[in-house]
Amino acid sequence: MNDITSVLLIEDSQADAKYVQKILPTHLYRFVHVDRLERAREAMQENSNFDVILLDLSLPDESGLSTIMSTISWANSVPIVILTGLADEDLAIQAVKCGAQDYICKQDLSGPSLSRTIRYAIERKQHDKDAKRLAVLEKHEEFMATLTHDLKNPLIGNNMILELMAEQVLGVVSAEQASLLLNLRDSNSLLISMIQSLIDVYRFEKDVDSVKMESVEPLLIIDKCMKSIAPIAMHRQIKLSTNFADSVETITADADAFRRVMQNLLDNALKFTPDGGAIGIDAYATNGSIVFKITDSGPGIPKEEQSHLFERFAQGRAGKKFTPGIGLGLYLCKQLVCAHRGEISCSSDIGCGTTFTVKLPQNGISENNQTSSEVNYDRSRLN
Amino acid sequence: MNRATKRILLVEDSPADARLILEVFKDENISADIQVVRDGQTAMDRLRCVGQFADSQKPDLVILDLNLPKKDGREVLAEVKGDEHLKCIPIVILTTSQSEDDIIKSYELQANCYVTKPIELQQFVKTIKSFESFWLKSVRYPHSHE
Repeated sequence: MNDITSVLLIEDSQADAKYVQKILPTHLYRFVHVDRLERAREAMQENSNFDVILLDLSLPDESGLSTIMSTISWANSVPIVILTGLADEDLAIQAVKCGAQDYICKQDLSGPSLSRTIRYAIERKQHDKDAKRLAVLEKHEEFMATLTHDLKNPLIGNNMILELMAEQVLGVVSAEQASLLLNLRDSNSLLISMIQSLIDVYRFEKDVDSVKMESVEPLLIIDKCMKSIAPIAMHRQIKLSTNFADSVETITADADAFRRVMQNLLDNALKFTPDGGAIGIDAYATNGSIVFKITDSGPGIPKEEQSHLFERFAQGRAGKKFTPGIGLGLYLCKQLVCAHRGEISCSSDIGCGTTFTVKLPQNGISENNQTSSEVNYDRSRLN
Repeated sequence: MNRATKRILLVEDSPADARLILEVFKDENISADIQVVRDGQTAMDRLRCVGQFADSQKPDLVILDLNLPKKDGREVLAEVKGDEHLKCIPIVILTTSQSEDDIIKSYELQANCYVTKPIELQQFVKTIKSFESFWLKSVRYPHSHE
């Protein structure tokens, strides 16, 4: 909200209307004054940017509770403050029960009391809106978290059965059938890993601090990740290389989270690197942090897409065309890195490949930077 | 004589209007001693300094609304201007009425001026300020009622 409060004043008493405008400082309040409900509705259609509606309950074209009911119907959740006479206090209270934010007795009007009432009404309305939205959001997230778990378990069961069948434990199958069964298992595995990404996303969104910090050897983990892509890389004649500085021995991190970040970035690199290309990982220590650079010789990422890479469900155009995915990989990486109070970034030029840089504090989360705003930032995008 | 602070009698039956006028006086730092009465009969008592107003002194100036309970503003105007002891007190008609009849009738009854209350706040404030600069700063009053 900017500094000037925009008020729609609905009041048929000219004197009261002028008094209200007189007692509020003109440099802080801007008024549109109407003396009929019908005109108020028109004013609202012309300019819906009102911060508050001040409403008299006895107007020429409508009076009593129906005034508030019809106002609410077109007020687009702009907070409403009832202006009331002494005799109408009961009515005003009913109006508040119907959805007005507050009421103020015309006899008690003063600049400070009115501006306080207006401010509180705006604040309260905003608070109610936020609370409602958050409740819906939380319910939604909880549902998704449960759903993803429930989706994953039957797939794991399926895979076990498929493997048993392929291995002929359950009876004789032909070589062709076995190969098809293993194909089924592989697509299931892909699904499971996508679902696992979703589960992790929800887990880390719910609880940033669910990382388990321990001393890990990053190079061992990276080696394992490299090995997992090595067969495909070899098949596609992609050259893999690592270049680790001696200073990189241990880092305080969540081993599983770290593995996922590296694996995701390597899987991505593999997806986008053409046959005969190259993928490399550099690691070195600097100023209490360890920097990991994952570089590929892929087509590069357009500048306009780079800024959205780490958003939830974001996926580059190229990604959509070539690979299955739901755009959670980099979002999850960012969450995990942020949970370590680290940084992740991307630099890329069209035709010159892409480098993802992950920078993690070598000694884990220090006490004085426990609170991270970055993950919260991601959450706020959802609102 | 010209005392620094003038006594003004505001005859206004609408509390909202009275409050607005007082607020503008206060907000614009207009120095005046304003008393508000809400009907024509009380206004006459106040002007004659009788009844509850026995200890009061005559006002220097009257701001009079036309539509009043008990005794109408026009009657008050006629009575004041017909009274040897009161007729020198200037009377400013301040009303929502824009009717030509009211204007003519008021001047016939020797109102000193006739002002219609502006609808819009800034204009209203301007009117009150011009009232101040004329009736409270420029005008000289008769030396009769001390």
